[in-house]
Amino acid sequence: MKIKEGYLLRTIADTNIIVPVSERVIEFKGMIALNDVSAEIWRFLETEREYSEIVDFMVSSYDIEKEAAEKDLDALLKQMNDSGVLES
Amino acid sequence: MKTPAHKAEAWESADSTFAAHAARRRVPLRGTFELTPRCNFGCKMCYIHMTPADIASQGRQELTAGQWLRVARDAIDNGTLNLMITGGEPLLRDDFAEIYTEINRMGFIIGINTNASLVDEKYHRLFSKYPPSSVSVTLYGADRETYHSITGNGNHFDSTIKGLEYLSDLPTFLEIKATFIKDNKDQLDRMRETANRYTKRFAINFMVFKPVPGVVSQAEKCRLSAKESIDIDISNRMYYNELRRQNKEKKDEADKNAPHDEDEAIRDSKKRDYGLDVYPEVLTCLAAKSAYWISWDGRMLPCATFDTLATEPLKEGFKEAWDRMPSLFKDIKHPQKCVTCEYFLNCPNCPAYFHVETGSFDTVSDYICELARERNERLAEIRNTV
Repeated sequence: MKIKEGYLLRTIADTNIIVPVSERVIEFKGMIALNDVSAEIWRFLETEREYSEIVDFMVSSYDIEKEAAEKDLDALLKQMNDSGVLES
Repeated sequence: MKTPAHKAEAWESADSTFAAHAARRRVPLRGTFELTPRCNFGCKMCYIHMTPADIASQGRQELTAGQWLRVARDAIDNGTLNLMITGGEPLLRDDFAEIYTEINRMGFIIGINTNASLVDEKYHRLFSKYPPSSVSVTLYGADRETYHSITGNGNHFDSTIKGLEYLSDLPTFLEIKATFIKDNKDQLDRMRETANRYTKRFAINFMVFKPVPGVVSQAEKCRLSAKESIDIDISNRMYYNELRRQNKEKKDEADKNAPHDEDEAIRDSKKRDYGLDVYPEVLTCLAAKSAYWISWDGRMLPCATFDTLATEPLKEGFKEAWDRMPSLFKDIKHPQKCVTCEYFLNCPNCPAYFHVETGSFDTVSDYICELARERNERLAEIRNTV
């Protein structure tokens, strides 16, 4: 899985914000704000990744159990899918 | 570990606008690029319109496309998110597409102010491929005669309508703003009907100021009196109040059995932070707090009306120009007459307006006083009647 082209992650006033550019403005209205951990995962997903790779990245980066990482990742991926920012 | 799905902790939207959050951190969140002071309309009340001869006579020049892109990159680096592109008429620039296309890729949320008359097949293609988030169109009348009287050419009405047809076909948020002067003061209903053919977003403006330095206009002759202005304001409010009442009745009927959201009610009752108390407090908006205006010749202003208070981002650097802007207000205070006035908190008593009206930041303007008095008294009458 991978973030679609045309979404920029910007940090403005200590806040991580996703901004659609060019054609993406057509399909994405509004604004997504991410906390720092979600922003890290967003950056990781700017390259094509397997689910297990992301879990490994979270486990090694944040020193958490695999089950906790999967639970948090599932919640984040659901939000990303609902927002339409992931390539299908 | 924090749950990644949590909302960003840096900014919680329930109690503060993001613009306020930015203002408290001195971040220039909202920018306006005035690409040109030229316009294909010759509106008699325009405070900003200049001809090429006017520009030449002042020894000033419009920024080149390259200079605009440099300012845009600096704006991105310094935290600008919302960018309004305006004029004059911005689509009049031969290099508009070049500037717009490049800026569109940078990561702004872009809005465009236009009179719509130049929007043709070519611009429709451009905006279809790279849609702005919003377009705001100013409407001057409901027929050719009124456009002739205000803009100098009745054909402008036809070209505006054609432009609106193109714009309403785009996946973008379209707003139509009607400016009222004596020539069109009886056309509120017709102008709203015209606007509603293309969008439900309709706003009015009746405040018409004397021009900024270097611009000639007939504003004083053609602007509405305070009474005429507030007549239109109240008439438009009543129209929307009635619409809201009808919609509420429908919604109440539909929601009769829906559970009441107490949390939402409590949230709504809280006063949100809009950042208006950030220095310079003399400004009752976010200008110079989290908003700025880049003029056609490259100066950074708090807004278009503060034409005489400027920094120079292309000379001193964008960040330096932004950081220096609040210092321009250190000697500007509200006039004593305003501070003791009963309408102080419900009055457009901006120093910029005073300056364009009187030539001084701290001299009270009769035009503004009358508008404030009329508005407050008439709204009080309506409240008492209800």
